[in-house]
Amino acid sequence: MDWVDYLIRSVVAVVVFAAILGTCTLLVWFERRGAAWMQVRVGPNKAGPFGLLQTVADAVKLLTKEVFVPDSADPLVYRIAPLLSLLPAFLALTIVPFGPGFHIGDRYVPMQIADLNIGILWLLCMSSIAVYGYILAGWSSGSKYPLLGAVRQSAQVISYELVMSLAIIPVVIWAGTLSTSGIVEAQSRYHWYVVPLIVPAIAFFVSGIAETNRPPFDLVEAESELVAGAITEYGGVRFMMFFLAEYTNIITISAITTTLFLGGWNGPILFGTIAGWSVVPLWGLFWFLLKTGVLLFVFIWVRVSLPRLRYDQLMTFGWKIMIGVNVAVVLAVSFVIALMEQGALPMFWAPPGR
Amino acid sequence: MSAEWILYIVFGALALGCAFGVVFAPNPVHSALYLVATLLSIAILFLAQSAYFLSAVQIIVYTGAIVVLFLFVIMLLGIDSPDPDEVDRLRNPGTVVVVAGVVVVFFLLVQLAVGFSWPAGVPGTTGSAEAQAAAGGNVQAISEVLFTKFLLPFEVTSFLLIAGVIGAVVLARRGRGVFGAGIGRSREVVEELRRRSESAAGAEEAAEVAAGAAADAAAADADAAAAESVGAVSEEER
Repeated sequence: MDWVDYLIRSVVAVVVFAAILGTCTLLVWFERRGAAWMQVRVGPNKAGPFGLLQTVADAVKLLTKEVFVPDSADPLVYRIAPLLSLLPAFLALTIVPFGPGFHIGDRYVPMQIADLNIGILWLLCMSSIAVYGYILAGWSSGSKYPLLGAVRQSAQVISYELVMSLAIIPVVIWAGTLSTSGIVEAQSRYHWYVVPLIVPAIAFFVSGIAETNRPPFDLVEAESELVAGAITEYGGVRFMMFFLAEYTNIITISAITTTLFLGGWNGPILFGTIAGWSVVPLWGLFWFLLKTGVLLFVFIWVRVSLPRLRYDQLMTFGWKIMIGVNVAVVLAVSFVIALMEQGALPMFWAPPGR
Repeated sequence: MSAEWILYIVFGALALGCAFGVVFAPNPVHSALYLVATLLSIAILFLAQSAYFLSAVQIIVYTGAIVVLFLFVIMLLGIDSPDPDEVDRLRNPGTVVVVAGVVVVFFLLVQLAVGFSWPAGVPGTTGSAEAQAAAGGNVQAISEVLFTKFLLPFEVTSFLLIAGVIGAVVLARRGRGVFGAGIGRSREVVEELRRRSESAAGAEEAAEVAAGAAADAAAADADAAAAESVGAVSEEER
């Protein structure tokens, strides 16, 4: 590692950061236009072609609004909370491999900001820190509805984090590594884990929807009961931070689901050269973006289609169904992998890693 | 000075300072936040020792779950300002606390005087990248040790956790029967209803009791104690 390598990594990080911000803008636009399309409405269509500039206009409005702290708020915690929400959201995306790394000359360019050896645990670390953003926002506002939102948030996130961890375990057992790039490589070409591990795949995505407080699990900011939940007292740029964090988290969950269960950048076509340059990284990026895009669409689709759960339904679903089923799956997968390694069962699908 | 030393001094001091913050912060939520900072500093100390897995688990379990539960309870009970009696107890700790503190400090000093040496760690769990790679990786080395050398303590710990869970269930369901959720209670309610309906002004009260029973049943549905209390809050709000 000399300074050129550090430079390459910094460039990758900046490119990814810019891409996330761009995707967030598009996602907000698509959420409004797509929801309008599904509900046979028009949606925002005045600013720019197809209303594409609406999000930009909203961002400018939020940025130029007055920054304030309510009288009843705890000033320091009130200011820290949005940062605690946004920072982990961006950091969680650092472990996602966007495509196969490639060489320029003798320099290696990874299409991933950080390939940590704790890999997927980093996601759980960051999601567990991100909880504090909402909880502290709710508490520090010094107001009734935000506090109720914060209390709901803490219970909901702890419950669904368990489900998320349990859904990751079968993948880790099968791939034999925690590293995200290792998990992607283990699902070579089209041996995606979603086929044998369909139950954890669904559980992971559903708990991801719950972790990001998206409908139908958005009890934290249920507008008919809690105004806007934990972020009721926020406005201007601080509100925008929470908003940005929510959409970044949606991208993270989609990207990680792709990585763990949909083969990451693996796809049916992964070869070819143009003018002596291998286009494998481009194919990898294409497959990755395609799969992540489909999952982003599902996020919006679910939001438009399903009504909000009741709180007791949310908890019953999490604790009695999701956790129970996933513990059973973890046990079953362990047995199957052990039998495959002993040779008592033929290797099917991707061979278990070591 | 190596980078490890600098990290040790900076984050060790931060952990210690924030630990004082936990004890002395007047606001319980601020105490909990100091605790988060302490635990994160300790996670970074683990990282400085190249114990990546321990560091991640420290963050996931302690900052991610346990302190969130603390905050949950603090917020649910609404203790924003401490009870004056409690503060008094903190300022003038009891004899037992003082004696315990003195004993701990005494033993630490004896250890230092005798020349305490840490037991050599299991290879691969900490140390240089090369040493970890030789043991097959950090995570692999820890799991190897956990499931071979320390298998018995590991399993015993899980028994301890189960004992804790069972204890919580027993406490939460006291008076309602441990296994049949509210069976005994509902029979009592039925008796009560019958008795009241026999009396002249019973109609209104009976409806009240029935509503109470319904709320109980709904609460018993939610498995986690946490869920129960949130349900109660939203119930009141409605």
